[in-house]
Amino acid sequence: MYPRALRSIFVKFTNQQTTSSVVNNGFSAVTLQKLQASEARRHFATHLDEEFEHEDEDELPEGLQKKHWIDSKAQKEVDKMLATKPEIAKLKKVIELEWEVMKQDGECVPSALRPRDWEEVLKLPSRNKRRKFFNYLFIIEKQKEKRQMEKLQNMAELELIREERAKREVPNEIVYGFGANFLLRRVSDATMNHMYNWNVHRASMFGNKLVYDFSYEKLMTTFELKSCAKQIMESFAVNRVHNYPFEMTFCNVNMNGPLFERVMRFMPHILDDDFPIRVEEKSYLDLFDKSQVVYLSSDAPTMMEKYDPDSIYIVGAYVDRGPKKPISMAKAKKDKIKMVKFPIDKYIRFGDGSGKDLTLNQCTSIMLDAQCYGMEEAMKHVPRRKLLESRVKVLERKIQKDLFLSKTGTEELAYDNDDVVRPQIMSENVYDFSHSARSKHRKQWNK
Amino acid sequence: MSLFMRSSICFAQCTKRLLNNAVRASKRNYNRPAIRKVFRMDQIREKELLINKLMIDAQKNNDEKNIDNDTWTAIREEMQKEFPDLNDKIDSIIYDLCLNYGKPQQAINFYKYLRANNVELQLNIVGKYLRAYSQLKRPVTKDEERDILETYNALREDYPLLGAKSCEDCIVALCMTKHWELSFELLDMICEFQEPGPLVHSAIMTAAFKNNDPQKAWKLISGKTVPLTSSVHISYLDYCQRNFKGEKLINNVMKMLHFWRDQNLVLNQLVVDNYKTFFESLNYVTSKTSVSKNGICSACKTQLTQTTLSQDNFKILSDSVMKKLIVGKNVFCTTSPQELKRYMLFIKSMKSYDIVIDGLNVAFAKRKFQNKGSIKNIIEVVRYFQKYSPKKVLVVGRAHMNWWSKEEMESLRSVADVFLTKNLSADDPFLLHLTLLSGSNTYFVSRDLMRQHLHLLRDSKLKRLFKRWQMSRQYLFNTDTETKNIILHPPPEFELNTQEDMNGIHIPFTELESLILPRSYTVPENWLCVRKR
Repeated sequence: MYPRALRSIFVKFTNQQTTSSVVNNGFSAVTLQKLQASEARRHFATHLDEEFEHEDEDELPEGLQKKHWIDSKAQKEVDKMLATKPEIAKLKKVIELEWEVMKQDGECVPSALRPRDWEEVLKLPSRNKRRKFFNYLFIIEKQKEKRQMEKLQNMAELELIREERAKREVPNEIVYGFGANFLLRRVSDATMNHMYNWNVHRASMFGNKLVYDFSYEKLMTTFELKSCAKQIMESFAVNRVHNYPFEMTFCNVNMNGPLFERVMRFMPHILDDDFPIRVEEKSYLDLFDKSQVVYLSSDAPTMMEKYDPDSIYIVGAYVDRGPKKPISMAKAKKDKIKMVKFPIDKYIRFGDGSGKDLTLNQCTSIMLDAQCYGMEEAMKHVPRRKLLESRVKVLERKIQKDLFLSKTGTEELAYDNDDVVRPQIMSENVYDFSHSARSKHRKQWNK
Repeated sequence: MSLFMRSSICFAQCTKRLLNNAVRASKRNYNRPAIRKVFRMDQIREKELLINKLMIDAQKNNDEKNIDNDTWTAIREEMQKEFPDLNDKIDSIIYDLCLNYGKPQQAINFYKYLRANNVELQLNIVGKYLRAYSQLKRPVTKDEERDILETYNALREDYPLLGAKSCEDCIVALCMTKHWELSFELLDMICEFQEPGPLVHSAIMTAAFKNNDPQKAWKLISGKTVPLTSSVHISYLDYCQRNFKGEKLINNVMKMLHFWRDQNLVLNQLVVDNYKTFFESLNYVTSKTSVSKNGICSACKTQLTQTTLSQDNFKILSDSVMKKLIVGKNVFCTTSPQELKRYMLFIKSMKSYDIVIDGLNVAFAKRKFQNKGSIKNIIEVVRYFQKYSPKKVLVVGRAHMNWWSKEEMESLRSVADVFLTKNLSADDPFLLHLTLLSGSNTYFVSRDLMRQHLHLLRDSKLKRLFKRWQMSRQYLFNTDTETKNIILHPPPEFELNTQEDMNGIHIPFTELESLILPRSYTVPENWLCVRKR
């Protein structure tokens, strides 16, 4: 009756219910889970240091195996390069020396290079690009350190709260509140996941389709590939949260290619049966009727006046930094398909010197809102900083800074109307997935 | 203030560019989020340290007294107390401070102190020590020469391979000495994996000229466009004056002038002053002047030569435009195969035109006053050209121009020929190709400087050729804000390069003191005029 993917989800739901109802030795199921989790964490922490010392991959826990998998694959790639080309070995030595000198000079370089970094560094053509890459790695390393610090701080705070609880006068008093006895069950991340995925599965039965074209893999650099994969991940996140999501289809996928590998890093379960994304190696012309298909391209001649539910829209999974080329238009022209662009010029006045190309997740959220709220409402997802008003505001601020600061030399004047300039959040429907926002929620929860 | 600003958006847009430049020029850095280094020089300079005191005193009194070994130890101990986190980088911080205050001699002394006390020397400090010699602003003595060679040999024994930065340090130091030929080995080491930095070529070339071996220098930069320092040009002049006399001297100096001409270089003040005094010493009359729009020098009243390209050059250019711009990597980006076939047929039957107009660019010339493009603008431009003599004019545009207004289109067709590409195709590459095919006497009209197309040509020699042709053949225009008329700016009628004729030489230069680079799109204001008595 139901498709196979859906059936497996039902099985998961039922399993969960049975486990949660069981009570062992007076412990509630929730506390048991917590205990298990803390044990696992300790186990994980001890293994972290020995990450590269393990020789047998099968011994590692599942989470670490995946981490290890990226590096071991990269190491194989590097070894292959070293074996085939003798000059690469020389280059590796040179880069090692360079990295050492930069470290001694006090420039921003990472403390160590992992195999996956080596794979990228060896392909970079110039010294300046290598320096920028090192700088990028350095920033990420520092971010990780900071996150670790925050984690430890949070743990310490929690410990304090627990101690306070233990000091209560009547030890077995029933306390009502978050983290203690409460009317509602705590909704965990896993159940939220299931709900959102179900949301998309429903769309695969009744909803509209949105297709991502993965055929531009060879035209992108590694840096562009990285951001492209991230944008795809973010567009999936936006899609599943929406009230009326699309059925997402990836076509022209090269399963062993670098782009799909990057996507796999973000979504490791993407090839599972119950994962709400359809991945196809075929072209969209083989999958759908040619008259139905419409390509979304910023260089198209006609505007998209209204969302047409009968047609299937295609987004090109292509990120280009640097000189822009009408590549998606060329592809649509070659395949002789209809193409269409967003009515940005109709609703929005762009500021000077901002490009009219959008990221993939912005495209998805525009399409999502276009199908239920109309085109004008959907245009809210175009970033505010590109609009003329915000450009003028930024300019004003610059002028004020330059005029007043040069005369008085105090910085207070310039920051007076700081709140006016700060970009506003677009609408209430937009969700903040950033790390800082999530940690804020977590803090509220712990209180 | 803010109310006024908000009311006039146009004004704000205009001032933006000016302001950006002003902000870039001012040394205050407001919004610079990226910090390149773990420690910052300006923060360390603000602190009350012994080394800061000593350096500031030395700057004030302008003395070059060496600092004693005892004070160096005191400085090191103090720094180690001040920055406990950066303990392994203390030596390089002190070294950087010395160079930051403009005292390379003290930096060299510090290195010698470290070496005498058997401190473990890091690779970067050895490199900095070698580089400090190039900042001394005086030739090195014999003892120092020996020292440089010894440290270099010791370094190579420890590290048979070196990174690009250390290589450059060694090259810059070795080029100060007699053993400059060792630097070719290092240059090969750099070039194996990347392009060398801007100072390497200049350093080696000046060393070659100083040591009377100019052929190696010319060989080094044949077929390349590299930014050069002014020391290269000056040292060549010295070399010529040392070795030659009479006619041979002038012939050898002319070799350098031909190099400037081939590379389209615009020189700076320092170089031009040197050459000026040289020519004056040979009894030439020299003067710094300007050149009028017609190409007449205001000092000697002679006409400068015109740019002339041979038939072969035109063929090379038109072929490469066809190959790299129109076809490119993906034909569908600019055209489609069917359209290309139609275009080839059009070329076969085409006659040569006098003027080719970028139709859409001119149609949208008055965008400030009218939102839509109009064909009237194109007719206005065509009439300007046909005022005095009948000229064949071609207008290149896109197919959607047909829908704007039928009557105007017909009247345009009566005055000029029209070639329209498809709506989804690019029109600029076709414009360039058609102009190149029409021959050496054809001009084209466009406000676009075609820089994105220039970039696609890739080859530096081709680029130079294309730019030379473009600067002599492109009519630019702007619109008058009061009368709302299009004002055409004809291209300069003379070559913008260094050039010689029967009586003398003309050299363009700028008043800035920068690296010497090929000319941009502007006409150089300053010229050096040299002529015989």
